[in-house]
Amino acid sequence: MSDPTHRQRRSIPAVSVPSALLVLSATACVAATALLCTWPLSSTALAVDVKGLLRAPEGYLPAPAADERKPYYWEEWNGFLDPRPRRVDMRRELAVVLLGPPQAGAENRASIQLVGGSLSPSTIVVRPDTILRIENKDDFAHELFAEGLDGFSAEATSSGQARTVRVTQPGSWPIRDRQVAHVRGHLHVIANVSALATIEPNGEYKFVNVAPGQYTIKVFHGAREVATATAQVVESREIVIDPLMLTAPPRPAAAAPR
Amino acid sequence: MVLSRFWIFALSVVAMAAIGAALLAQGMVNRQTVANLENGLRRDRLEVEQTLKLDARARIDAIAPLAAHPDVRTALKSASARRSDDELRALNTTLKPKLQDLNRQLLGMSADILFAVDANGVIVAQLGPNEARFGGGLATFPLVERALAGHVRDDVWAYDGSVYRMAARPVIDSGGYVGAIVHGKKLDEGLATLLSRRVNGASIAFFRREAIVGSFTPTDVTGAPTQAELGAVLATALTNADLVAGNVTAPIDVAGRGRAVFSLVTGAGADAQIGYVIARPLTLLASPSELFNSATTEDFAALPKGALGGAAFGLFVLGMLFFWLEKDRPFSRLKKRAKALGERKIDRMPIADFSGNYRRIAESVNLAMDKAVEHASENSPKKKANLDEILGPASGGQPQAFFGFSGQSGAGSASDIPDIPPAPSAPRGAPAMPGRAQPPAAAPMMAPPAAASMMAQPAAAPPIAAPRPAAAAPAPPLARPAAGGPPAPPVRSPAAPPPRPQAFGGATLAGMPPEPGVGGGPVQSRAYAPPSPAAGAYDDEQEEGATMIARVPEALLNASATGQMSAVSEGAADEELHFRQVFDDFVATKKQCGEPTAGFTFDKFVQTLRKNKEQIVTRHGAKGVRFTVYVKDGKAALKATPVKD
Repeated sequence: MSDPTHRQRRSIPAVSVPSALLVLSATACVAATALLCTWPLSSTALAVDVKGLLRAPEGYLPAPAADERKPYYWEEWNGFLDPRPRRVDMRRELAVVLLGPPQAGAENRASIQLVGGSLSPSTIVVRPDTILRIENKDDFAHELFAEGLDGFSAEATSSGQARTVRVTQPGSWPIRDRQVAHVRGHLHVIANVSALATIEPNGEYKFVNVAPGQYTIKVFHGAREVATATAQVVESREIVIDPLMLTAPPRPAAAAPR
Repeated sequence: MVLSRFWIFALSVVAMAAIGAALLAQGMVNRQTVANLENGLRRDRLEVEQTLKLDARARIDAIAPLAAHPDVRTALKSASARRSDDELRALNTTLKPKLQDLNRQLLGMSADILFAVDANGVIVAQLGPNEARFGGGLATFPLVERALAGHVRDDVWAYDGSVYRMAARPVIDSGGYVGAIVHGKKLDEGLATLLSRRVNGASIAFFRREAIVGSFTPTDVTGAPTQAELGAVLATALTNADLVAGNVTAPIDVAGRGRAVFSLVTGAGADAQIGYVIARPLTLLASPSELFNSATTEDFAALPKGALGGAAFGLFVLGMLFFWLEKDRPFSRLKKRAKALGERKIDRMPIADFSGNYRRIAESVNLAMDKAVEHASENSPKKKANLDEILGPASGGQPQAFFGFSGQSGAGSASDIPDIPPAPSAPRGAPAMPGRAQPPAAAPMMAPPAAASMMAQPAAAPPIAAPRPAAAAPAPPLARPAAGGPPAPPVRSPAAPPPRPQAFGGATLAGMPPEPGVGGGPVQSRAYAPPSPAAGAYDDEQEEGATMIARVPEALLNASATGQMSAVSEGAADEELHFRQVFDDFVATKKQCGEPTAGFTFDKFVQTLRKNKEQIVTRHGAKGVRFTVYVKDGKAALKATPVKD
């Protein structure tokens, strides 16, 4: 990778000494000023952002199996207007993580919300020893629990209240709600999580301030890992990862703890 | 008693078979009852499922007017396109009263909780408890999500502490989905009552995990499982593998007196272990007698009472007949004979009249009587006094064995006694020679030869009765004194009777052919004497089990009379016949003399004679003794004459 400053210095033409001193002084002043102005950022000067795009193929959300017990007696088209196709709420349902060397200054804290009657996000990936804060923004109580995870037992969280759970044990656990049956979530606790991406409704995701290094990008949808990629981060302002296609058909099956 | 015992055995077998059948029937009925109940519960569950499905459809259809109402559509369209929260507050103010009005028009289908959400699932207006905060949403509920996508659907929610059966419809306006109407009715006692009536009397309860949220127990069903009883088994049912898998459980016992099936609801509420239970009482037969409790009046009316009653009466009569034949009748006969014995109408129990145990009783009575008499005659001094009285006073130095003939003083000499042939001591096979017999002193007084008894001793007679004939020959006619005349002279029995028919033991002679060539004495022609009245009566009373006594053929009698029988038996028979004749003469004389004869029996008399005979034989060395009857001092008396030759 070339240095533009170096290229500019090599293209300076020959001038007189006074002029040269004057220009040199001026340059030095500018450089000093610039150095002073940019000093606070010098420590993160090597960190870059990594972003990409998630794409769900056609039929990513399959219809329930014929032999699956349907949670209703009736579900019919209204007969007037074509129904909307089923779609994935990527911001709520997916999690994109960067696995690699630990990031300096990373906090072991995460926050999820209960809003609109469900978890947001519903797929959660954290490092061990993370304190998970669960905030209930619904108008009714929730009682979340993670099956098989110590310290995450069922506990009622009233409307507007929050609870915290310290997650220490690496693994993967489904999250259920004793009060609101349809609530589904999945908690992944992975040791080498470097960064957690933010996801836009259109599938764009972004990691900020990623230190240079070799990383693996993983995408989780519930219990499953639906996409993966590698990324080599160097001293650059931004890295754009090729779009990731979500391949695995999501099936309502809990994955074994990893 | 064979028939009676068999009858009792048959009755016992029938009774045990009936009890066994009743016990088997109890088990079979109970098993069938359980099977029917469990099948009924499975049918009830299908019925409940169909009812809930129809109820869901009815609720979906009921909210169609709400979803299509212009005010609702307009409000939700505006809410979906709002730019500020103030617009949402304004829409809530206008939409809520409209929803209340529309909900009232649903009547029985009016919602307990009702939402109107915009296209993003945000609640614009809400009816019911615990209204959502401003801006709250339901977008992630599958029911709402699918409604906003254009589907009608039902569900079951656990929402804010209560359980609701939900229905939702999309709201369409201007060619797009602008929101949805979400309708909910509580899963409570009202629905349980409706379902219970639909399945005809089952107990219905809705549960949410270990808690019953609504139930109905019919009051008109005896023993219907109560809510408390269903709640007691709920924890166990929740761990049932079938229920965990989302299926209906097999029938589960409820407090030992009912069965119940558990099932989760159809909807998201199943994940919160929301379900229902259908239960019915189980009434088992505790004992076979309760079989009759379940019989209806129609069942009893259908019974063939006449046939059953007739059969019972017939069996009763048959049993009574057996008892009468084998118990009552012989017992009555025994009573009658015992009474006759007590009244001294008979000397002994006629054992031939009885069989089985009654015969043994009669034999025992006879044996006891014989022993008592023997004991009394041997040991009682009073008996000796009676003997003296019977035999008359013995002169001091005069040999007691010498008696005079009638008309003498009673102290004749031995030479005065006609020569009496020693019949009892005659050598075996030697016939009694009639020619040697001295004619009696008073020929008219000579009794005609007594006809031998035609009756023999029963075969089963005890040995004690065997030596003497069962029925004595008819007494020879006595020379009775003229009326008002002096006492009749002593009647002398033929001291040496010519050969005469013998009284044979039935065991030896009954049915035996005559022995040709035995004896060889002259055969005297004798008329056959008919059987005694006693024998005749015996014939009349012959019955099953009694020994049949054959009449002795006349040829045999003749042969016997001619001495074809052994001398020994002849001697014994002669002595017995002699004793009988003496007894008869003595009784007749006593009657003539006006003496009482009650209690005066032949057996006692014979024992006295034998005893006296033995004393005389011992004292005088005689070979035999012949007794005669005479009257002394107005009383009957006996004289004994030793027979030396």
